[in-house]
Amino acid sequence: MLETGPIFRAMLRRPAGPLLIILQLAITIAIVSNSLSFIQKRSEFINREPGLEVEGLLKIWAKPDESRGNLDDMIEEDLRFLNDQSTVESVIAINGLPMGGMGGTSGFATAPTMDVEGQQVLSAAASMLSVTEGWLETLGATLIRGENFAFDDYQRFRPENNPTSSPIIVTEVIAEQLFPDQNPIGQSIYIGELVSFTVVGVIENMFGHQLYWEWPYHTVVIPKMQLSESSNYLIRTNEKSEELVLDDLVAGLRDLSDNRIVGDEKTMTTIARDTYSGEYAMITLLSIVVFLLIGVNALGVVGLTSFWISQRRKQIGIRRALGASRTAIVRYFLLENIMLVAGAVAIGGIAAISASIYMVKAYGFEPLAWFYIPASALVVLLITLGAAIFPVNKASRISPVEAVAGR
Amino acid sequence: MLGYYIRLSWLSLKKTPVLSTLMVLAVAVGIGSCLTILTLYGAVSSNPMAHKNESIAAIQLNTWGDEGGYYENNNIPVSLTYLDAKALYDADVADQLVLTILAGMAVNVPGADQDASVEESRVVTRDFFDMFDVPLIEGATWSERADQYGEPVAILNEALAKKYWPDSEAVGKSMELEGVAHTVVGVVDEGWNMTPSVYDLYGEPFRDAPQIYIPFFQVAEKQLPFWGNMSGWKVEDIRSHQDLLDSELVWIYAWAGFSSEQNRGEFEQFLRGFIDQQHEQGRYPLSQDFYLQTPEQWLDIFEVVSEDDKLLLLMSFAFLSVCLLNSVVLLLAKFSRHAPEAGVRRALGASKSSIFIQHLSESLMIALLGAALGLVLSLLGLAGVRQLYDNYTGIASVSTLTYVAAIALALLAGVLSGLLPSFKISRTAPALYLKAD
Repeated sequence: MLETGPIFRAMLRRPAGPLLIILQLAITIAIVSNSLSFIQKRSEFINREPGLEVEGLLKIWAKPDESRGNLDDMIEEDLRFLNDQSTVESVIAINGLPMGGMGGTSGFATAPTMDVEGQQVLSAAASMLSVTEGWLETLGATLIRGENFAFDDYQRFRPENNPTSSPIIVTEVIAEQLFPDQNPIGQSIYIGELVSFTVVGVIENMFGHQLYWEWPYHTVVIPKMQLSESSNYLIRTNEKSEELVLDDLVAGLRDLSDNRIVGDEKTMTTIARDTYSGEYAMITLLSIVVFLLIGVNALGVVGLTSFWISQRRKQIGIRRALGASRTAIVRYFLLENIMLVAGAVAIGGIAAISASIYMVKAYGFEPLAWFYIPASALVVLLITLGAAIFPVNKASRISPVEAVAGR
Repeated sequence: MLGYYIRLSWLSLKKTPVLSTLMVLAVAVGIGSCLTILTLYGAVSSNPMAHKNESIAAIQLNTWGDEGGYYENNNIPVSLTYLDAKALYDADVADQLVLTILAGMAVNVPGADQDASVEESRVVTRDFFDMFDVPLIEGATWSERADQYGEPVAILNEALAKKYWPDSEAVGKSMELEGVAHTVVGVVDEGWNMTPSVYDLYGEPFRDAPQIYIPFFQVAEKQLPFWGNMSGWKVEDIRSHQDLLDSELVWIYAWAGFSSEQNRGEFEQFLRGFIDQQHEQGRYPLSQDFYLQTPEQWLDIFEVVSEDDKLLLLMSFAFLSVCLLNSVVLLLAKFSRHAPEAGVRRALGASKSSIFIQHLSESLMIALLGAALGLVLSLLGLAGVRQLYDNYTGIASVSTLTYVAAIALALLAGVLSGLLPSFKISRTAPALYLKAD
């Protein structure tokens, strides 16, 4: 038989304490459920498939000295040097940097002008990567349709000689958006009347520069590179110690000639980590909040249960004298805790949902999934029971004689 | 009387050392995390130009020709085309006019034993230093002539000046920027760094202070290594630097400063006329509006305070409330055991209010101890935040706000947690306990 009735009536006689602890646990449930939900969403965001091999990819930035160097020659020389290194599997020069937040973005359409009669013109915005030969292996991207660029397609230009046509390789999403239900290979796409591109291949969805905009996989790759004032190199290595390889390569490039500035070297893992640093920070901070909350609640429950028990030593002693078993005493106090948590789940569930609704409205966050509420209720239940078990166990050892006579 | 209550509180706390420690710890954790987040939020949400909020304004001109509007911020371009920037500068209507972009300039000092490096450089008109209160410790702002013609002069950050000339004045020295010899005319105090960097909030509002300042109109001659954002709505064939200057691309941040309402009025009137005239010539195709935004509005438009910051603030207060409820419950339990003692005090003539104050001072003592410990915890918390967010290194540190908030939170916590328990015990009826004991 469960003593829910007597416990409930006992609480009603002194309602302030139980009510407040219910409120405390309820707010805990609201915070924990929302935090867990945020942590989950942020982790999903970070763990999106990049479509390129992040591990083993290194970046170095170089710029020729204005007065003495020429960018085209520098790239030529540096690529040759890097390719010759035993630690380097492959290397490319690249304009724009996947996942790095910097680079050109443009609108691409299926016709040079948006109003063509009798034809629906489709368009998409995309990150533009211009690359040198070897980009597929170096990036670790996967070609799924068509072919890679031909050797002759790779060219570098000064801005005044910008090409008016070029082959192009696009990601799956771009192919689907511009050519739904059609074979994209051999089709033309345009940047206004300025440049026309012929689609020669399609790669699996790969990140472009921006990871925080609507279309992270809107990426196109072209073999014609505009020379500005500096260049990024991407290097694929099989060595485990990426940082050491990177330092060696930078030192090597600097020794090559002092006509250039070499720097900003980073592993792609670091670049990705930096880009997501806000996400990682929020996950860490929210985890700390959940962890500390659990601690505070546990402390509170230990303190409170101990106090209630010491207050009721006489009552326990009498019950023991009248024949209640030790388990009956333990059961009574644990049941009391479960009832408090039950009350807290009811209020906390409502609080969690209202908090979530508020945050959806005010900050545009995604709504809370329902299962986080029972999950955090379970967490809270386990903490309170776990914390109560020590004082309760001690209470069950109260000797009937001591409790009745000792006061 | 106060000393007496403090002693009573201390004795009472010592009577239940475990419970007292638990209460102090819980309050400390609550206040500590709240202080950490409050300090951070205070720094992130501050407006370093508040004192000039009414007298300077960021300029937004709606040149955008795409129906969708500018894709970020408040859907109006946040930067200007070169055409417009130059026109505003040449018209010379506003008392101060700042044009600015960010560039990464290659620095080389012939003969120095330092390797060439690339430094964050602010390309500005000379009013920048006055408008944003940049303290020069050596030299002075470049001349108006140098400003107009983009002469090769530079103002350096003290840190960079010391790097090249540790033992002598930098003013008058020469350094190559992108291969062009520049004369140093001034040095900016190393300690100056405006956070958030109101003058340019794009990308990273908590950036390091610029290392180099050069005259804006150097861009009229040649392309500098541009580190900002360039956006356009029109397909334009840009092959030369002149094409870029003549284009509809927006990339220059502009600020106007006014010494009087009249000057502001004149500037607004000028803008209206200028835009109308440009519209007649085929520019400003969709709308012919402009906006002068206060620094406060500018910080809003760039969402410098992120949704995450607001969420953390909310969380930290919710967390503190859990800690306080925890204290209330524990105090309630604890005080309920004091009832016999309170009953006797009441019988001996103590008033309800003195019982109340006696117990409230105990909860205040717990809160004060908790806040002191919480302040220490917030030091750890802020160190942690600096680890988590690279860009908060400069701002996540204890400030006056932290101390003020610590005291305020301690009092708040003490009163809130002690109110109900103290009230309940002050209403103890003496008779009951006299009889029982």
